Amino acid sequence: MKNNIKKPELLAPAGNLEKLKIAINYGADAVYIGGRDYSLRANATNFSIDEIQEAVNFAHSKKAKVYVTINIVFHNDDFKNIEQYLETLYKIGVDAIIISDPAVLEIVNKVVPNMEIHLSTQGSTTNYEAVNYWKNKGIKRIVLARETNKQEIKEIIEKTNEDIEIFIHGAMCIACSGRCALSNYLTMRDSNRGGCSQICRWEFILNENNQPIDNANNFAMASKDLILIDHIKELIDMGVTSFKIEGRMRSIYYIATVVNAYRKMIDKYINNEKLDETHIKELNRCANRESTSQYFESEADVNDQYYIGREEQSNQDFLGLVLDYNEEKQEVTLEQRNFFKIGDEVQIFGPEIDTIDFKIEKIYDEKDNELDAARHPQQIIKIPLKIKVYKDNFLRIKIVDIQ
Amino acid sequence: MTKIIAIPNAINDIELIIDNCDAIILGIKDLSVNFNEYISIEELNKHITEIKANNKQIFISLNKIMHNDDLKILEQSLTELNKLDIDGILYYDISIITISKRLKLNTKLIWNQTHLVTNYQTINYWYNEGIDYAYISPEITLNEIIDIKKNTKMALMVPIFGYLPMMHSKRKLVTNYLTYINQNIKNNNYTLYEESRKSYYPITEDDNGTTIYSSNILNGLEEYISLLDNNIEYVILNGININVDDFLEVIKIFFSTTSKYQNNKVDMAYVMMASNEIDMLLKNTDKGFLYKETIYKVKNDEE
Repeated sequence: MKNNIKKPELLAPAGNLEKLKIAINYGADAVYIGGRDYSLRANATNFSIDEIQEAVNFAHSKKAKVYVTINIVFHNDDFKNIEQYLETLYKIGVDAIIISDPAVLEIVNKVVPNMEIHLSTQGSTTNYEAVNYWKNKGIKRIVLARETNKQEIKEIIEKTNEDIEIFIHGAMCIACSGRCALSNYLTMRDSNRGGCSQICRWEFILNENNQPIDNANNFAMASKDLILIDHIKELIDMGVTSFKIEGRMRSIYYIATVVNAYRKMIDKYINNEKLDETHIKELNRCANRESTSQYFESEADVNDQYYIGREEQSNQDFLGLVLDYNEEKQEVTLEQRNFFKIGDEVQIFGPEIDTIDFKIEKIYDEKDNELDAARHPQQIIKIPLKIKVYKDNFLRIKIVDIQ
Repeated sequence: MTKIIAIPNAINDIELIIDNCDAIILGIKDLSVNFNEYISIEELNKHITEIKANNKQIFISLNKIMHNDDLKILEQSLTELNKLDIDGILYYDISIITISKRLKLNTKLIWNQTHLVTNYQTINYWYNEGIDYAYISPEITLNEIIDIKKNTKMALMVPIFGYLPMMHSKRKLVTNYLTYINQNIKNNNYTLYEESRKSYYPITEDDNGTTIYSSNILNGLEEYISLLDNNIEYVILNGININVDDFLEVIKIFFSTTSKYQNNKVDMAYVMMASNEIDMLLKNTDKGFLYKETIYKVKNDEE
């Protein structure tokens, strides 16, 4: 174990209870979720009060934490019921709330003064003066803006001694956080209250002096995703408190793959084990967009965006979710998620096991009829496998050679 | 009585517009965004003299998001500005508050976080922090603005005319795109055309990033009367991307409306006619969000 190194928290998104459990089981130290109100993902499934309670109970049983986002920019009428909501969250045992509007800070101080508060990236905090302001107001942790580079992050930590959280993986806004209302103007959907319609992924025609640019593709301004797995060592060494993964609306496969990869890399570095490329390859495969380090090393430039429309590809790697393993029969039962067939080279991965490579040799349906392929979404399938696997392990096409 | 602040499209426009407004906002080089031209603090002195000679006010915008490397020059600039006869500093970044307090500077501060100034509770938070004005976000309704006024002691600045900044990015979006298609950026006269809406959105880029503006010009002359009725302290007329002659006409109309109001001589027939004049002059005007509430939930929680 490295001396004098603070082990960072791995913080994962959870759009619903299933994703929350997957994230924690795959190694997240904490998760962030949105309630049915006040969250910047207003159109995600989000959590009812009962679900937040279940989430907290589950997380705490696994020694993990739950943070609830209350990160909208409020309008006059939006404060109704906020006091009651905060009191309820506190009673439930939520570990912290993530806010962006300082009016909420005052309300918290009044009704639940012992609630831990984190400041959202919506605050666009990019310098140590701003961090110190919020620290003096009792904010326990600041989520820095994604436009801060590594030197800035290091200097902020050194000059403030505040808990600093940074995004390490996932989607980026093209605008400065909090400084975009494109959605408001083009679709009447309020980006700062969770209704963002992602205008930054639309295409436009760039005109110069009211004439379209000659010989040009449509103008696009979508950002590529962020990936900082290559920089784990630097981030840990500089003392970042929490590594945040974006993606409350992402799939369980994405969550499991990303959390698993960062968990393994963090633990290997902390334990002085050799880091390898396996997890980097896994991350690059599971993303449906290209990823770069964006602002981390230098200003984001021409290579950090898309220019030819949306280049998202549906990920076909995820083949099935393990439901059960019969040790006597040495047989896996799983739920199909993408087509696979006899002869496919596949892998199963999960937090309990080392990744297992094998070839599909037999496929059976629930009634033990032999099949040549698993064709139907969510079809229950059985395949022989001598190595024990566990519920919520993932079957995928073979994407990496295990080192 | 409500005062009119004008944001000039070019520094040279100040002398053309100053007679018909009560105040000007200028942007400082390297420390502000969303202006077409910027000046240095050294150049500012000359303009302060001119503006004050006309018995007008001058506000300075330092509305850039500041990084660590900006803080030294920011501190120097705030110290310099504190010695000058300016009427306030518009800020986005919280560092301006901490530095001002630490150096015990006297210059008034205006909370200008573009899209975040949307409710009176948060305005009151900043009022209690010693902030002097709040620059209301244009994405809220007239009723919300009036509700804010009724529930705060903070002096308010309300945008009532001009193109509205929709987003700001630190990235050079025009340069990046043109680089990708092997062309060079030539000037700053670009717009983005969106096919389904048949709308053109001005896009401007400088060393500090890119701003995209609304396709239509907010014309809130009719609603200005409500703001006068409610003793709103300042309204903002933004001349960015607008021909100076047209902008001057608009300022004169607002100025004339204020005079008539002060003398109890304004009536809505006049205001509507004058508003129509502005619409005819500029063509692409609308009421922004003054009567339009945005939504944010488009499906039920159970779906």
